[in-house]
Amino acid sequence: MVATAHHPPEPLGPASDPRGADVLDLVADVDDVDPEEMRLARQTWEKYGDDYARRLTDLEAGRHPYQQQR
Amino acid sequence: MLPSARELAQRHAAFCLKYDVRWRDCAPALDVAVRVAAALAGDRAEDEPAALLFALTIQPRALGDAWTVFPIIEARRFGRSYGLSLDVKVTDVELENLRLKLIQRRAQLLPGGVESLLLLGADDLADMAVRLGFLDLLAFLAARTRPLPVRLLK
Repeated sequence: MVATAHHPPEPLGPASDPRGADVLDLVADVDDVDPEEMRLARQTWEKYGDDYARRLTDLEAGRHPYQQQR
Repeated sequence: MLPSARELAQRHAAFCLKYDVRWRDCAPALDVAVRVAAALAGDRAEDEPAALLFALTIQPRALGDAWTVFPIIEARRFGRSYGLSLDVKVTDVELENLRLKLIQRRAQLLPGGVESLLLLGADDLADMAVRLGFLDLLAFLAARTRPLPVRLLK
């Protein structure tokens, strides 16, 4: 499931309703991330998913996407 | 003061919305993170941003795709609430290495899950955090923390 402006995430549980106005109001307050950093971060999580061991192995071998930064 | 688990859950949802990140229901993990961070920082408010980053970092499967970015920008935002600027890039290679090694050690040292930290007394919790690598993360952030210019304080 991907949360977007058109398809908000499912409820977080009794503690919070992410579709509520309180959450939408917070979107503008979320830190801006440099687009190039965000692109690399997204590339990284899409490449490795939950395989953090391989992510570390690649980092130690110099093959991690963050190491391709200009 | 650390955010409540509800506040953190709301900001996590807002983060996922803003950046179109796949969302996971991680409210229980966020609750654990806040409690671990509070126990770890104790009355040292200056340690709270690092404690929160630590407590979020060691729960990668709960946070899913948000793990890569959300804990870092949340620590930066939290630091600002104390008038501190954390000059930390999301894609910092050294930070990525520290964070990945934290979760590697977490798997080795806490097979019962992060919740087991909450069963420890204060001294044992601190000892375990040190074994996991908390001091490395603390030192990393401390070296990149500066007071915010007064004009940027809210």
